[in-house]
Formats: sequence, C-alpha cells, structure tokens
Amino acid sequence: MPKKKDRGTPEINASSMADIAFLLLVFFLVATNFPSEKGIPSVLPRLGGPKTVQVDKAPQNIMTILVNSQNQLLVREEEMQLGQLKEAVIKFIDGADKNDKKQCKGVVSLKGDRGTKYEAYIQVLDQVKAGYTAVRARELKWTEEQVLNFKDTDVSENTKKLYNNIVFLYPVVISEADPTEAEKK
Amino acid sequence: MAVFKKKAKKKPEISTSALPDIIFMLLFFFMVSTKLKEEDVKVDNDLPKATQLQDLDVKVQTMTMYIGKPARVQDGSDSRIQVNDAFVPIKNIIQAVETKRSEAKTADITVTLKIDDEVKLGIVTDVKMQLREAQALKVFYSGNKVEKLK
Repeated sequence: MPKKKDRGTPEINASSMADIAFLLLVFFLVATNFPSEKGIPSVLPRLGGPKTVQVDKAPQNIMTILVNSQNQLLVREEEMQLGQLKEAVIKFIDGADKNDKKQCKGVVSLKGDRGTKYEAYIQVLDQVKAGYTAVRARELKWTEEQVLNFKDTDVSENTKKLYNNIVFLYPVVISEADPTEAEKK
Repeated sequence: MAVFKKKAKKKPEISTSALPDIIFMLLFFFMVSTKLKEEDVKVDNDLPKATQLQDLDVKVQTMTMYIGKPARVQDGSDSRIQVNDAFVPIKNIIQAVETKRSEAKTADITVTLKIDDEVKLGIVTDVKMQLREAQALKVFYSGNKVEKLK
C-alpha cells in the first residue's frame, strides 16, 4: 500500500478574486447613478380656480419681472442684471405693506417669453426665492443654509414654531403669468 | 577602493493579496450609495444651475419627465418630452399622468421636471398647462446646485 503523504491544505489561488470584484464594480459603475434629486419645489395654480392671485394693486406690493426672449431682465420697468435681482427682491419685501396679521403682502409676478431659455427663467425664479430665503434668515437670525435646508424632523417644537411663523409672515407668492410670444416659428 | 560585490537581489514582490479587499470595499460603497438607473435618457439633459435647491422628500411618489433636445440626430432637433423610456407628445401627458397614478395607487404624485437648460420656455409652459389639466399640481424643477450663479 502506498504511503499517504501529508499534503496539508492546498492553497486556493485568490489572484482572480480582484478581477471578479473589478467586474462587479464596473457593472455597478455603469448601471447605477447617484440619487441626486435636488430642485425647486413649486405648486402650479389650479385650473378653473381663481384666475388671478388677489393682489393689492399698490405699486409697492407688486414686483413685476419680465424675462424676454433674449434672456434680459426687466424688473419694475427697469433693466437689471441677474446678479442684482436678489438685493432688489429683499428691498421689495421690506418695502411691501403688511396686512393686519403682519403678513407681507408682496407678490412677485414673473413673466417670460416662449423663446426665453429655461435656464434663464429658472435662475430668475431661483433668485426671487433667494431673496425670500435671505429675508427669512435675517428675521430668524439663522444662516441662509439653515433656512433653505430646514426639515421639520429632528428639531424641537419651538424651532418648528419659529420657522413656520416666519414662513407665514413672509410667504413666497410668485404668480407665473402666461408667457408672451415674441419668437414665432 | 573596496569593491562591494553587488548581490544579485531578487526584486521583492508586491503583495497584491489586499487588492480584492480594496476593490470589494469600493464595490460595496457604490452598491450602497447609488441606485439603479430606471430609464435610459434619450434627450440632452444638462440641468440648469441654481442656488435655492432643496431635497425632494423621499417618501413622495414621483413621476420623472425629461425635456430636451433628442440625443440622437434621427429623432429630430426640436425639444421633446420623455416619460418612462419613450417620447410622449404633449397631448398625451394627461394620459401618462393617469397611468402613473394608477401604478402608484395614489392621485397625489409629484412631477419631477428634468429640463435641459437650453430648452425654450414655450414647451415648458405647454407641459405645465397639461399638468394643470391633469390636476398634477406639485412639480419639482430639478437643477444642479451651485453656491453662486455666474
């Protein structure tokens, strides 16, 4: 009978493990993407509802912003650069009347053109929101980031109340009018 | 001068046994932090840059709508709307919303608008009008976050 050799455990060659892992890695790199759902939430006006937002017609309570098909801005009948818009919005909010509940009565009326670039329009919307965020942050003595990223979970009741109060006092009322048609095809 | 005889040294081998571990680590990172692509985007989709972006509430039912110039030349050069892997004509948007509603088993859906920054406002307005007719009033304009606009 042949003598049994003590062979020990044979080593498993693991050098291809890295290749397999690489393969899987590449698959995931290609087939997935990072969930990056960031954007500007907005609510469209209800169809058949009141056609116009109830606006106090006093000139200090309404801010008209026009964006033409060349993406130029006309704010309260004056030409303006996008960079100045935020300051103008802040000024407008501060200058607007308040109702008997101390609520700001200002309404921003935003009107584009069918030929306006979407990016230009969104950036105007963005700057208007930025103005409101800045005012809310100033009143709350928070940073603008804190106001923008506020979530009503994980905060105390008191903070929630403060925030909701500010949102009530400075409501973002943006009326988006039907665009003009300068660019006809 | 003393001459040192150079030993014929064998080059030390670099141990690669930790390589699979490193790769696996990367793999797990990607598995956890990404999600599978749901659809193939057939239009140009450079989202506009903005500063006031907020996170979308993960709990809401969403329907994603892409608008942009078709990526392939044979699909034409006019901006088109894509829902669920297919181009949808404007008048079919209401129907698409209804389909999504019955899938999600709720009428309360948020429409995520992923619109290319080069798109003209005209088509966006038409889409918004259709969404209003479909009573899908909650929209979410997707964008890329920047600290300051140029």
